[in-house]
Amino acid sequence: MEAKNILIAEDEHFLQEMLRMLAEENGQHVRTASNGEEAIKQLDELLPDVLLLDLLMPVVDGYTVLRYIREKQYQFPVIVLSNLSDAAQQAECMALGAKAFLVKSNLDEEDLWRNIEAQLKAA
Amino acid sequence: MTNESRQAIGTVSPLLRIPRRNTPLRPAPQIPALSARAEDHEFLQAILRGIRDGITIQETTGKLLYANAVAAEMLGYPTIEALLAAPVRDVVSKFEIMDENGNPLPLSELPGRKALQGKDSPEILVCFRIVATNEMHWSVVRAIPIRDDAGMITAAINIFHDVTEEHRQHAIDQFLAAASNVLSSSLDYEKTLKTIADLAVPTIADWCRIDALNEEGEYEMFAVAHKNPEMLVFAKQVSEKYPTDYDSASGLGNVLRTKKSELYSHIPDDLLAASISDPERLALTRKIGMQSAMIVPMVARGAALGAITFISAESGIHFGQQDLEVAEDLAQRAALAIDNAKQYREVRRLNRELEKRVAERTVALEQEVETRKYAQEEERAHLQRLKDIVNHLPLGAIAVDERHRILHINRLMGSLFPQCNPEKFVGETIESVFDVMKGNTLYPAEYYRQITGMVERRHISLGSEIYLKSGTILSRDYVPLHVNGRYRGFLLLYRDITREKKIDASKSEFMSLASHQLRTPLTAIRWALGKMETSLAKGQTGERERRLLAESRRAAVRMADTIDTMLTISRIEAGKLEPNIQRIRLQNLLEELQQQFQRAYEEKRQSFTIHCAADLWCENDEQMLKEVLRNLTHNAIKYTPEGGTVSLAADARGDDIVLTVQDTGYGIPSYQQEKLFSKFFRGDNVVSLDTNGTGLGLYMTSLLIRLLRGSISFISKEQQGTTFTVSLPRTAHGS
Repeated sequence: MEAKNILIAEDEHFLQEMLRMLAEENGQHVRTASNGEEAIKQLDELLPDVLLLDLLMPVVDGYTVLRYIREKQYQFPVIVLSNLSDAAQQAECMALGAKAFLVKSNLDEEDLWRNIEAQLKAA
Repeated sequence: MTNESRQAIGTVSPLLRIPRRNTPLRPAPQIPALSARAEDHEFLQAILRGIRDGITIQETTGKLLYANAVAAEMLGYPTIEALLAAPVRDVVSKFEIMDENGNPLPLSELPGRKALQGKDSPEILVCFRIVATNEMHWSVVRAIPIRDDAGMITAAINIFHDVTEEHRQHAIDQFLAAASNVLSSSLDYEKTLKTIADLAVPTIADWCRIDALNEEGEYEMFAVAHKNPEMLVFAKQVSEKYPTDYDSASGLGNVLRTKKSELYSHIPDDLLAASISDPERLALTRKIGMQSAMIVPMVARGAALGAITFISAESGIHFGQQDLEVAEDLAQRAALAIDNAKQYREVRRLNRELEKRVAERTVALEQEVETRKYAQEEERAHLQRLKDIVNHLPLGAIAVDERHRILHINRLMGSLFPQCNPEKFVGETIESVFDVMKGNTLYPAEYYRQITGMVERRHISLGSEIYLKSGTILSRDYVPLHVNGRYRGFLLLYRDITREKKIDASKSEFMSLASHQLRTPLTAIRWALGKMETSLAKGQTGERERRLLAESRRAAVRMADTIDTMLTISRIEAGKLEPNIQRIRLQNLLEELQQQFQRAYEEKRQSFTIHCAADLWCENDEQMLKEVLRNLTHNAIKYTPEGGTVSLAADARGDDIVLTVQDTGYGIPSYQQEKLFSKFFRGDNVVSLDTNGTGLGLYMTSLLIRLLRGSISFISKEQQGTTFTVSLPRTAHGS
């Protein structure tokens, strides 16, 4: 699989770092954003192949980013990384166009990569 | 006594006060002149012998010329000759003479003496008491003068017509009449019995004693009478020394027991001696000189109420059957009187008792009425209090009786269910209320099924939840009411638990969030450790590994912070955290914070300023206040981009100290401001964590500020910055 562009929007620095490592180790190009505002700026420039999106971020949160993507009708898949496993939250994200909803506290590297891979293949 | 003599008595009846017969006095018998003729003499003798009256002929000197046998006997001489031979002085000294009233009568008043003196001599009633025997004889005495040829009075004929029996009978009649009068005149029978006894002597007997039942139902001597007071004293001494034996085999004891009279016509001395063994007592008894006795019971309605004892002593009367009948008659009347008196007393006693009881009962009833009235008032007041309590309960309450009739609906019920108007539904069936309530609930069928099930099963049911269409959630308790073990209805209690439910939901949400919050850095740490494992296996220990370790350590520190925050929150919520008040020098505090965050703001190339008067202080818990400011400062640095400014300031404003944490950061989006604000103030322990750790930190901050008796507010503009303001009382006593 050729290298794809992955945008990681995560305000928690350590996790952002780990996600970046995971993607890079799997041979992908990675860009990062530490809040929603940065994320929007980056995805406009880059149009990534997949977006890993944290929901709760300062300045602009993940929901706003999802709404922005829908407005812009961007087609790249979005994988939401949530702090909690909340059905209502998940439903809202899916309704806003997210392709997957993963809970960070249970996040397994292999699971996450399988998900990313699946989204890249589907795209 | 012969019929003739009775007839003769009739003639003297005025003296005896026996109704006078309207017949003229019989002419005096024609005594033939004393003649020498033997034949005549014999004839005369025969006539005189036939006369039952005593006849004497007395000459002017007083000497008796003649006496018949009756006269001799009456005057106490065994023979006519003895009488005639006795000197006049002797004859006179043998007896005392009294008039019909018992007063001494001078000899000169006797008709014979008067006749001898030529005076008019009407017949008179004379009592002779024979000194030797004490016997009393009553005679109607007449005298007829005898004149000689010259008309001179030479002698007098005395005729003694014995009326002792008649006199006694009359006296008895009088006594009985008087006794009857006395007995019927008073109900005071003790007094009456004394009077009877007094009346009985000396007419009936020399002694009269009456024993009767006293109030205690025991026999007791009620009266004793004798005409001589000295003798009474003597009798009293005797009776004190020898108490009456009411159980004696004969005499009083026997009479009382058998209710049969006893008559002792003659009491010879040997009989006394035989019946009284004690010599002293015998001597004393002898002194009484008992001649005859009778004891009669007083019987009424089959019970011996007592007995009357009559004793004849000095009078020498020997009681006979007639006397006994009189005595029994008297006893009978006395018994009736006593019985009447007792019955009357009993009636009176009962009456008094009854009146007393009525009075007592009346008082008791009045008291009871009072007590009941009081109790009723108390009950009413108590009931009102209970109603007040029920009305002010923070619960909707409906009380229902066993027939499902509504007894009471309290106020809150009316506000929980607006249709549940107490005035409208009291007295109606609970089902009618259920129908109304059903319309308000989200799941009416379920509601109805539950409620009817409870009512039918009569089982206490606590905490069923009802969801109203309005969004209100009620808990409903069903409590059957038992009074004295009997089912008397039930109570439905509705409590608005909407808020509690929301708080509960928030709490569980908080727990869930907190758990995830802790697990997220763990995920990163786990990944990092996994990578280092791989690196170590490959022998790679470069910059990348160093960074992973450092990040892991930082993440672990943040987790520890989060856990500390959670523990603090939990301690505050449990009320276990109490402020330790001390004087805080605010400048020191701010400088300390600046030092703590120096690395953080320098990394972001932010400027950090503090403004505080050197002598500014407040009284509060220093650690808690530091924690508050640390949280706010942490957020300020975190949400301010590189090159921005964070300012801490402390100032006095009135009685308060105002602390501000100001940044030139991103600001809080206006739609989130409201949320943030509500996060702080919406509920006691409500929180939802919207940002990474911030929610928890802010929540703890808000709790701490409350403990510090302060308040917090903020102003924020997007892309311009945020200012948090904390106000605290300056002194420990301030508000």
